[in-house]
Amino acid sequence: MTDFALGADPPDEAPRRPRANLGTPDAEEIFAAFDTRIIRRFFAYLKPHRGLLFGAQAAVLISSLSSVAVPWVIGAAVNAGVARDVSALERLLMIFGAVVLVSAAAGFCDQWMTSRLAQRVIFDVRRSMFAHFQDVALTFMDKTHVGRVMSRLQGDVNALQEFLESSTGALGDFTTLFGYAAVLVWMDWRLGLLTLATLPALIVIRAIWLPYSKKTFRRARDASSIANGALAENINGVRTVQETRREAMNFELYEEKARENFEAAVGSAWLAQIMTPTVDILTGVAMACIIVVGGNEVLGGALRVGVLVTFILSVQRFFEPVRLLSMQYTVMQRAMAAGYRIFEVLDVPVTIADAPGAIALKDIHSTIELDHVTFGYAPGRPILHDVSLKVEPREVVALVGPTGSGKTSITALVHRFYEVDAGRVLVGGHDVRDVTLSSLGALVGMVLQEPFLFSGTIEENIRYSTSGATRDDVIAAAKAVSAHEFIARLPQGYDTLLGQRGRNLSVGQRQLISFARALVADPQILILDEATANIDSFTEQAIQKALRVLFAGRTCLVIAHRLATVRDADRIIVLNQGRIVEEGPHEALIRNEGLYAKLYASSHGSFDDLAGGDEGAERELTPT
Amino acid sequence: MTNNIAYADPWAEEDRITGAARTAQIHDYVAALPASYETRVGERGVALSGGQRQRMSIARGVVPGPGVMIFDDSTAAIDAVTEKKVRDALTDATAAKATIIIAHRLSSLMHADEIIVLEEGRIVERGTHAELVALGGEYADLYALQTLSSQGLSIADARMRRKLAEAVE
Repeated sequence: MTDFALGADPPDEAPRRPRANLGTPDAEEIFAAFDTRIIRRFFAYLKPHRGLLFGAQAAVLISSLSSVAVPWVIGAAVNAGVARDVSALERLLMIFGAVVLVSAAAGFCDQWMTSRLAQRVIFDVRRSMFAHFQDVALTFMDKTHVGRVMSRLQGDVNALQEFLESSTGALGDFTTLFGYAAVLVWMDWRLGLLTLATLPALIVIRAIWLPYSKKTFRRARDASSIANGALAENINGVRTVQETRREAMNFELYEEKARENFEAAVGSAWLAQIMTPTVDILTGVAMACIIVVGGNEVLGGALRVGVLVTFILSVQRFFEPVRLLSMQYTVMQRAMAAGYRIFEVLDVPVTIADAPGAIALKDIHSTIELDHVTFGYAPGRPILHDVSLKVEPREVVALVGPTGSGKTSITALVHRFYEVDAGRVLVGGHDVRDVTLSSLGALVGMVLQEPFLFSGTIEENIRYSTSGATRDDVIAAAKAVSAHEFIARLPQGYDTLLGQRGRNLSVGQRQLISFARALVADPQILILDEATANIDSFTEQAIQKALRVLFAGRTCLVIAHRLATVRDADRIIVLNQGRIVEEGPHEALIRNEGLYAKLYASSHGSFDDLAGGDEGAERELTPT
Repeated sequence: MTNNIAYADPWAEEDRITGAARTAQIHDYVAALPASYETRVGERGVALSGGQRQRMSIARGVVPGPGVMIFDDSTAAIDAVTEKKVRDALTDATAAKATIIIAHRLSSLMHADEIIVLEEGRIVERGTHAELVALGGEYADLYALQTLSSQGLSIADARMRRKLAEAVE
């Protein structure tokens, strides 16, 4: 036995890796190059502010041309001084003063108009993103992580702003570059061409530098986003981290990512800085050439000393725009990526909108009907299969079934959060696609499983969708759902500010507030997704009582998790895997001994999770 | 999935991980996933229901084989039949260990050796389920409330329910 164990035990193979990870191993970065479509979209946003845009461009032109003129004026002044021409010197001094003033004023106008332009565009982008997000939210958010979308878009808007603010600067840099080249060639074409001869060297160096630095910059950005993701995950899960004593392991995992980030950042810093000495060396070389060649000519009398001064001053500034333009390039790349993502979001089509000629629902028999509805969130993977049901006016129907059976999808369709793939959803006898969304919203009230409370007072939260409600209405509603008592006990009563999503209230209290909200809105049709969270028995009693108040006189479709709620319903519809498997009142379903009876017998508080039953449930059913 | 179950002990062997998953009644579910235990969880992986997450977290707690297990309302979203399976499996796995259960649902802790009732930071009652029900105090009230509100009032119904429960088990 021992021999066997020893013999069978393989010698230590390759060292095992721990089964551990922190955050995701891949970063999600789009790295778009120059894309004319994105540029065109940018221009659409710039168009309404073209006055500002042209103003800023004019200012930047004036400012860079006048700065180009400075060395020339100084050179001319030197010439005048050498020639002892006092009147010319005075005139040039005045010109010099004027040029400096114009340059400063134009520079200021450029900065101011550009910032204004950038802020205006960002303002428009923010508004259109918010508006669009509200319209497309559900279909888009189902597929995307909210936190990621938020941080991405915030970063993207910032990148866009940075680009816009520096964009006119690029125009200035180009103007300066060509201005100096023109002035130098015009003043002395041989010396001018000698200076320009260093440019090809710079272009070659940049051509080598660019692809390499692109890769490095990208690696640095990826590494930073991965490290941030890991940090965020660890903070969110800190309780579990401490519970399971994973601190040391997670530190190691994080350190690995942080080190990668460090190395990538150092690499990209090195690359970003390498251009500065390169430009400096080239400037020095050009300067040396000019002093040697130009100095000789001055000594030989072929060149006036003022021209040499102009050259020396110009060469110093000549390469600066070249360096700035390479910086601009990375900013532009980032803005391209940001623009790509912003437009990607803005281009998510609004699929759910009022049809032309949509009617406003009012004074209807508040019925709900699903007519052979097939629906899924992803193509080819239906959640609901050919579901038909009808809820009569003032009837309370409970939807019951295991997780994933399609209960939530049915309620979402009634409110037209999504479109059906086949069949029809009718409210008050009208197809929801033929009525206006606002009238549907006023008719159909929803209470979600985890009610979302907004920052603001309790009163504002209860009044949320009904701006016309008075304080008395709010209090009456709160009393009706037994929420008044605990609200009144709070230090500021109805004026108590809710913390982050109402975290200063218990789950049960939040639920009661959402009931009061629904009651104030007084919809004819109520859709309710009952909370499953851990609520103590006494609060649960209050909730059951409040539910009866809420149900009274309304057509109700309730996703029920609690037996007590199910028992209050007029009719129960049992769903399994997207199909209605049973339907009827409680007693009849119990006698039926099908899935409902099974769910009922196996659960004492909640119908939620039927782990063992998922696969077997359908086979055991007796068809109704 | 593996990394999540082995969270407390990343060096755990595979059989300990599958063992813990079996104890927590999540093995069948995980094994049926496209990439089985290597399936990714969350954003770009599978989405777990509340009950599945609770069972995952029980599996996670079982892996390091601690001397004391604390269940802080960790079975609220698990149905009673599965909960009982988990409990039976845990009894075998944690026979010589101390277990503390915190729950709103009394059926989750009725079987405990000792039940402690707390009120405003003080112990007000302690004993077995039968003792506390007989005592007629806080616990008995809570028990009455829960049986009343969740099971309905009719006796015939209760009898039917018991019969069904037996049939299911």
